[in-house]
Amino acid sequence: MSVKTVVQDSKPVLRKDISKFAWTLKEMRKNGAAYLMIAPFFILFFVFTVVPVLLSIVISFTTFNMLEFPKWIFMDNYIRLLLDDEIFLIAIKNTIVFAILTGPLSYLLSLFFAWFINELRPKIRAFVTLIFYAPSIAGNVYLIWIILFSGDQYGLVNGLLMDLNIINSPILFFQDTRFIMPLIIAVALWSSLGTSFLTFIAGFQVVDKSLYEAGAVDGIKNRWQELWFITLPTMRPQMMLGAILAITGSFGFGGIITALVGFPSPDYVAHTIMHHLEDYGGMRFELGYSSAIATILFFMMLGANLLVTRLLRKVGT
Amino acid sequence: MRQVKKVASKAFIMLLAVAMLVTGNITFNVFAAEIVSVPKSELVDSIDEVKKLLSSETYSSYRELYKDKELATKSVFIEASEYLDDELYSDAEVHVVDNYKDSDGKTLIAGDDGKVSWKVTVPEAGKYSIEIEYYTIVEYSDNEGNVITSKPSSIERILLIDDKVLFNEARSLVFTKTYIDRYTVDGVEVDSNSEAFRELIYGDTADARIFQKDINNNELKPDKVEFGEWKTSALQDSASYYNTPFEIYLDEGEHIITLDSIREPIAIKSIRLYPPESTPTYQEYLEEHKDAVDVTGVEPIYIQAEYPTATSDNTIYQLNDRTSAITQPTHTSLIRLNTIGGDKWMYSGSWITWTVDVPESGFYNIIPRSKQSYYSGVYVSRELLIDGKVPFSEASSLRFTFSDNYQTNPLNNGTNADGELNTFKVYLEKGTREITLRVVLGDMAEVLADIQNSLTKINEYRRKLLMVTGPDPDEYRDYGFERSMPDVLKGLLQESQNLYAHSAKLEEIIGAKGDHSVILNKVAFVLERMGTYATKIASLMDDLRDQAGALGTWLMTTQNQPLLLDYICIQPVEDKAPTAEANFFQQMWNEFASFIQSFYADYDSIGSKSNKEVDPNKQIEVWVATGRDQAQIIRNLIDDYFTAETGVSVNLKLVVAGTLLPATLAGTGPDVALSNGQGDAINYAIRSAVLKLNDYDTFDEVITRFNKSAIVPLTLYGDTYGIPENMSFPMMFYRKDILTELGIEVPETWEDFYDAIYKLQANKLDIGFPGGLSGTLMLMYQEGETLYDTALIDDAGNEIPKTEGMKINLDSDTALAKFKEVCELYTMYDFPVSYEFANRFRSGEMPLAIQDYSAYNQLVIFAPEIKGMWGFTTLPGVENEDGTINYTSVGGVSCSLMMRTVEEAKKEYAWDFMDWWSGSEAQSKFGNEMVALIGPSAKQPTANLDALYNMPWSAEEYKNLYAQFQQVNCTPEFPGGYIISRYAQFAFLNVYNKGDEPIEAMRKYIDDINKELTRKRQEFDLPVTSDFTITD
Repeated sequence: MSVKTVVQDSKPVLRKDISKFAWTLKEMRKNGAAYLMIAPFFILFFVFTVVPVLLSIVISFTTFNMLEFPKWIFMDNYIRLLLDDEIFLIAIKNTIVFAILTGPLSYLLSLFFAWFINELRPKIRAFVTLIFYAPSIAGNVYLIWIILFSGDQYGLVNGLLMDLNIINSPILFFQDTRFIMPLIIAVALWSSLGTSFLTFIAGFQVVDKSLYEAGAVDGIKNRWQELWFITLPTMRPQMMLGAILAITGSFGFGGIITALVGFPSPDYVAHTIMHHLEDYGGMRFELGYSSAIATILFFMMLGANLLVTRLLRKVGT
Repeated sequence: MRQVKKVASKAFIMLLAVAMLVTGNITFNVFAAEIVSVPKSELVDSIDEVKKLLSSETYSSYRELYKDKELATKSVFIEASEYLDDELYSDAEVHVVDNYKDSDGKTLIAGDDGKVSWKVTVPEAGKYSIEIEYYTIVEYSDNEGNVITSKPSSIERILLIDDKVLFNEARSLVFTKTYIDRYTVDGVEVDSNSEAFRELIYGDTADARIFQKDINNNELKPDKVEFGEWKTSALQDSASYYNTPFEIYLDEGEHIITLDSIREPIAIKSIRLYPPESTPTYQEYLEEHKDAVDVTGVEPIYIQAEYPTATSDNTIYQLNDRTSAITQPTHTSLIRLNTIGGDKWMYSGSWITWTVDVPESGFYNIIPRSKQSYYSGVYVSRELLIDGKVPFSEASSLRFTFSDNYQTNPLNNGTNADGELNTFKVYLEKGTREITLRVVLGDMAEVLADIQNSLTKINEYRRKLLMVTGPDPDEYRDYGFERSMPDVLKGLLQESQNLYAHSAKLEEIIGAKGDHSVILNKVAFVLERMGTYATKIASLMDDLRDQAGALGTWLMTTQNQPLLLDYICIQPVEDKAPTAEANFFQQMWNEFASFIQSFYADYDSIGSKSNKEVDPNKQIEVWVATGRDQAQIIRNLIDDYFTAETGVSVNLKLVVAGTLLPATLAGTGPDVALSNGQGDAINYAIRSAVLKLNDYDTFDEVITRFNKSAIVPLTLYGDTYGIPENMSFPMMFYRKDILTELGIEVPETWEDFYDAIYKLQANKLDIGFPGGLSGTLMLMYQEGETLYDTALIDDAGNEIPKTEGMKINLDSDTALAKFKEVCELYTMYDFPVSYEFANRFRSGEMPLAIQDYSAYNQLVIFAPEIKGMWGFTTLPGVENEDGTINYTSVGGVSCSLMMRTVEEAKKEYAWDFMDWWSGSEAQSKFGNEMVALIGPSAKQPTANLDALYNMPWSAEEYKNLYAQFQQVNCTPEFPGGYIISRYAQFAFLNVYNKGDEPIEAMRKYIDDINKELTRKRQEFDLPVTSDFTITD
């Protein structure tokens, strides 16, 4: 009954003569053209994104080795994952540390760089934007870090440090547990000025100039207040997109880590949930277990997104 | 099938023969179970032997030394059969044959290992050239079971006079072989050197194409066949630095001439010492033929370059070029083999010969339609030979300049002062003439030789400095080079001046500045600074390494002389040259048409030759996840041999790696999958995705083709799931020159190895060693220790089935000790963990390294400047009780698998295919085709012992490889095995990075490893440790 009341409250049209389903169908028929237009995307999205996600949740309750038919084991995967897998705990720790350090930092970096660049003259702005954006379009450009921090005595940093007599024998930067995490975080920040950065720049452009004038009349005192009370609230959609990109980016950063330190990282120091998933899915053929990991990662991301949405609502208040 | 067996047994006999050669022991059996250990003294040259070969000067300085001596006037003829029959002078396997290959008199056949010498009485002192008459193919067998057969590779020998190598260049004398094309026209085989072939390409049907076509109508290359013929070849520099045969000064009296083998057996008829001849200049040549007239009124003759009579290498073959609209013939989407050469025809000494019927005697212009678009700014050179003779000296340095387009210039050697081409007309006698173009270095040769000599000296000086400073010089320290090595400083300055001079000379020859001036001047500048300011040396060492490396690379590429030919036109001198390039509209139409065609043409299918109806019940599907070239070769081999012999057709598909698993899951996988990784077989097997192979009738025979241990990783508890394809393992690479200089014998045992470490490190040189698990495993297996715990034994003394691999054996005393030993090499002896092997080996910083033997491929291509100065041999080992050495290496394999998706009825066919593919015939053919197509860097590390023998290894290389092949172990694969290398690596890194105690570091992970092994075993219902009560 309560559902009905909700429907009654929120929907402007109420037809008592037909059921809700029939009514929906009717509405759909009426807007057929619109549904037809979103159909190509929706079908692709549903088949290649929604179905796999749902399937992986189902598979997470089975043992599945990719070649034989899955066996139903219900919660065993989750029990093992949460109670009997030390490495998973390391992975969660690393993922969270990594996400907390790189997510917000890269987000703020993008935002502030975008803000600064926005102050430049249009022609210079286009040029500077290109410079900052270049690392993320140029694909695997992070690999130059391997050259910089190569473990060979002829690696650039090793060579320099040895020339200055700071060290005597080369350091295996990407194989030494003491250096891996800081280096990875540096690389992540360096390469994070990507799509969200571009969105921010676009966001700054669309702010209605008259709002600033109105703000000035209403007593905005400085640029900070202008930013906080006018610019940022106006570009909330762009900030939302940026945030989601930053979160998925920092949770799913595994690929670059693998390229830099190899898989798995020494003593699991840079082992993230993504790696753990890859480890079980790709190397050990335990798809059920890795689906369970994926499911947990999925909910973690979902939670982080909700949290960020909530935080973003506070902008400008 | 019968033929396969025949070939296999033939190969087996051959192998036996080699084995006998290697061990000198007739009772030796290849497939015997006992382990064979070959002492190092039989495998590598001793310091004295190497010294004899290395301590010699260059030919230019040799020539300088004897420049005042007279040329000889008489010649001396030596019958090859009258060799010095004395172990001291001739230790190769030698046989004398009467009437070999329809020749008169006796011929000497010498094996590919060891030397043969002749005594010669020189009637008068003077400078002589030497030529030998040889047959290009060696086929010898006698009733005593001796078999000598040549392989498709050039013959290579070292020349010694009176037991001395006179100059560096005499260390590598190459005698080329002859390859012809075998076409199949209307079901009849036609050889490219036959009358019938000339009839086909010049006769009435000249416009018809005689290449076979695949079902898509693409032209297919004809087969390359080795052709046997008698040849006379003068001893000459194989790198073509010197255009004329060597002039060797000999005193009056008796001398001993020795040919020491590097590669391939040889059949020699005679050796002749003769007075060096000089070729007339062009002016003299014109004078000589002053009665001849320029031919007029004759139709131009076009020789299509893709129809050569013969070539010197099997790597020179017809190519498809679509860049020009008027290349004859051309097609916008299909493959038309319309050109020849390109980058397949660029190494010094290789040649192509065409045959042509000349209608009238007289002078003609020879106009090749050629393109050199590979190296900008420089020209490439060719030498013209008419009927095997260079007509005039200028014909030895014909130039083809760089251009993006085709060119049709008469033969020329560049432009004169007025900017006009210096063209040459050529006198051709009426009748059938052979026209040969040979790759030479032309005018640049001598300068390049000088630069090469400079570079050798520079590297030598650099190494001397390096032995004082170490690889990481301290620029703030005064090493006092002025006092300790003044001659090196003087040498550096000298080389600097030389390089400046070479640079100026090159500029004069090429006529412009270019890359070459920059590189040469840079090196010269660095040397000048180093020589002038000794205190700067330390800070300039890195610079010198990079610059000298760049110079080496430049020198290497400059010696490559690629040239693409479309046709060769022979026409009257007065006629206008043919149009070189299509006009704008032709070219545009061509581009447009190919663009349109690209929507229709199927470029991806691996076309089959036969267009017969395929019986779907007799067809299997095979997937290969390597490259396109490999797939095409496999396709051809399947068509020519497998399908032809068995009638089973094969649907070969080139797939992306990683598709196999999902496809098998979906039930759309292949019947047989090729080139899978070592772990795949067992990984798929325990999940029942691949089928067990033990039950096929020929299985037992098939596995004898490999080293016993090759199937170990593919076998789980007695069931074998894969057939090995490739197998490679670490061997020891060493620099002969450096070890000799430091007086270090190639280490035979680990004690020797430690001695070598001491001596090398005292000279600040590095040693390469595989770290972590692979190094440890090597040492463990040499001690007879295995990676996993062996099977448990029950009370009755029987093995309990399926109990092997339950626990890791890395915690045994030996294993821990060996792990510690490996760690200490890095912590105490400061071995580098991360390094670029090829670079450091080439520069001499790392003269000794244990490295996978496939690194050979890289060194052959990448480091030609150290050719002949390095080798690879068996690993250092531990001494057995009987005094032999256990030098076991731990290898890895790739394998072919039979997938579960195979239909019941087709299993036999699938097995026949795997049997055929792993056989020596298919593997040898595949290996040789790969080398032919891609070059010497594409040697396959095949697991098939016979096939390995059939590949173009030199005798010394093969001897070492074979010795190591006898002692290879592979680690077995068990469920959960992936975890071992991971944790062992963690342990190793903790020791290296944090200074942990090795044994503790390893022990920490043993439990984790065992836990994972147990967990995985439980998943597959295999017995685990806790199932048994262990009572020790």
